[in-house]
Amino acid sequence: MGKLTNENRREIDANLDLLKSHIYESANNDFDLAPSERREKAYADLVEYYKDHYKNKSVLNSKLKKWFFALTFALVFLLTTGMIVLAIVGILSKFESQAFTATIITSIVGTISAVTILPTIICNYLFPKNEDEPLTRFIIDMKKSDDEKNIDFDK
Amino acid sequence: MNYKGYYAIMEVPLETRIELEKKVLRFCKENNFSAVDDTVTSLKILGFDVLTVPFRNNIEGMILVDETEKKLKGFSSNKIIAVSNQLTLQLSRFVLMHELAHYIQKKSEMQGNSKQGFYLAARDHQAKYSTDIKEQENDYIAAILLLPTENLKGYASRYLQQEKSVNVDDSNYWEEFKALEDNEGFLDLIQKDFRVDKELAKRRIGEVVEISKNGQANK
Repeated sequence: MGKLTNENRREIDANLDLLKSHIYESANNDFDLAPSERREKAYADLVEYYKDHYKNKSVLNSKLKKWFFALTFALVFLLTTGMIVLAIVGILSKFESQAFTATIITSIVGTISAVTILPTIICNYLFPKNEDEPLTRFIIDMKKSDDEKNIDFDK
Repeated sequence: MNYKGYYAIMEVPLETRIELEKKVLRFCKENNFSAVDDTVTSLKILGFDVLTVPFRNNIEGMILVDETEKKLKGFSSNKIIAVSNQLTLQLSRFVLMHELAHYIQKKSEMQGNSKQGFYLAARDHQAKYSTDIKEQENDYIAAILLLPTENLKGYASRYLQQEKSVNVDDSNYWEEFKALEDNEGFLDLIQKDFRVDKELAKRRIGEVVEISKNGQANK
């Protein structure tokens, strides 16, 4: 390529100056989309995001459930075993007192009940039963909307 | 704004239109270019910076190219296409392709003349331009780029077959094709799927029928 003449250069500079006198923006990649198509694209992006999020959440939930079960089971086992051992030791050392034995048994049952209820409550918060319901409704609505649209001719 | 000029009946002779069709086909093939779906991405692939600008003074589009430099001062490319941000989607796409048409035309003129630096500076779509035959040629190129002959023929054929049971080999095929100019349903579909103004679609139907009947296009 050769050099431009001074006149060519002046013409380009004048146009550049004109352009720079405005507040311009780079055209986005959704430039060619009609407003309704932009909305569609936003929905599609949202679904894509939700899909990734749901996938990650499912994997994480599955891991979390395993750990939660193992930890809770270990905790309940340790507490129960500990209580029973302590109770046996207590009963053996004061075996003539029936009142003491009854108190010990009541406390063991009470502690085990408390230890069982607490994980249930935590579990309900961590893994709500109907957590997939909004997603299911969302997918059904999307499908319905897609079905209602006309399928046109290929370009 | 009066847009009548954009789609006014062409004064460009048939022979020139056929040449322009060939020129555009060649350009698209050489550069793997298609603006049917996405003008901006296609222009970016060609190396253009595409800008939207709140132009004043009736300017609707601008192209600046200086291939003797790596970049234009203050920009990331040596090629810029700018379009007014106050136009409809269809018109914006049309203006972008009209600007590209300047580039295609100049590139074609410059072929084999590498001694001269390639540059281009055009500000378009100001009042009264549409009487200029060169600008009409650029409009014609823009229309081809947005609604390519083969795409329109294929689309119309499928429509005619499905809606009117008319096939390409039927004797009334071109008559039915031409009648699509006044078929609002078809024009709506074209407007939606190709994102072009209905007037442009109408004009293209007429042009494609004329060129195809003459049997000279795309040879």
